[in-house]
Amino acid sequence: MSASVARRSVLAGLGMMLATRAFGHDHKAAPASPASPSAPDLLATQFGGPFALTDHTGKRVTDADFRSRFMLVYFGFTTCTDTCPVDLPVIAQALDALGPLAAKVAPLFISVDPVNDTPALMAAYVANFHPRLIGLSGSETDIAAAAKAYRVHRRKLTQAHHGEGQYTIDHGSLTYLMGPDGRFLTLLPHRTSPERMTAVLRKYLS
Amino acid sequence: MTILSQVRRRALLSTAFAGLLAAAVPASAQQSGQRVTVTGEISDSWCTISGLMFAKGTAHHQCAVWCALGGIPVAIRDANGNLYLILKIGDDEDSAGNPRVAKLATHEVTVDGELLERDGVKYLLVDRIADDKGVITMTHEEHGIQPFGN
Repeated sequence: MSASVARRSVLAGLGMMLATRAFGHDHKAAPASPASPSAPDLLATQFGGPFALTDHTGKRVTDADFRSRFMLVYFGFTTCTDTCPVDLPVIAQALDALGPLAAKVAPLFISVDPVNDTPALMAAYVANFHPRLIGLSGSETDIAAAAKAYRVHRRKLTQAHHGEGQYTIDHGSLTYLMGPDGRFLTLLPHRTSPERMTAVLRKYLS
Repeated sequence: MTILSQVRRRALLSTAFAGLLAAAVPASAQQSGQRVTVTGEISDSWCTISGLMFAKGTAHHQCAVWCALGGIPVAIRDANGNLYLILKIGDDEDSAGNPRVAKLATHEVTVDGELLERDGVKYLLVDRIADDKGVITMTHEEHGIQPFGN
């Protein structure tokens, strides 16, 4: 592990602790029904949209295949060394903590590295985190469209410690909760604690 | 990076992060926006939240431009560390990957707009930029030019 990665891990850990403290006063959050019948939900269309991708079993899927379930959407890549290994375990812990409610959720891990992340690689990767996590990849065009819809930044770069052919991808790390109708409900920033994510999800799922 | 700069960096990140994750607001504020005036630095939400870089001032200017053009939500960070995700500016509904928005990177601005809050995250629909002081926070001599890599 490089010093850079180690530093990031330490910072991520510190951030997680901070988040836990910050949310310690927030567990009695008011129910956040995102849109009442009388008020339009101004946030509903700000993130997300149609996508057509390939899941980790090789099957083509679209966002419509997940209707009637909440989509918990996260973008990353299988060789990520910092943000994904921090955020995916949080998602996994939240799913476990939800118990039967988790059946209402389709947790989606969308690759930002379509060239490398084949269905086979995605299958092995998502299985490391949670049995219900669904890996989605596709062509560069497919991924670009999905990333744009969710306003996800991604930029491939090389660093001093990288050998030939090695790279990393700078990518957005927000976790999006989408409703059963596919519309945006809320987002959970990087470093959200498992307890906080569970509380937010439970509020919408219950 | 000096120990002092690392400490400052962490302090900045802590403040910004705590601001983004501020206590939830009453349900009434989540349904319809409230009029606000916000002053702060335009940056990208990704670097500020993730802590991967020193996300303030001229040291972060290049990165902020790249992130803005890359489509990540642009944000304003005020003096108290609160982070406001900008969803639109003026008539420009598409703030993501918008060169007009990217040109504001690192600028110290005052904006008027509508604030929406949900689950502790602040979203801002900017009606107008009331003041733009340009890039006034000089941090590159201490922190260098970011990001790393090429």
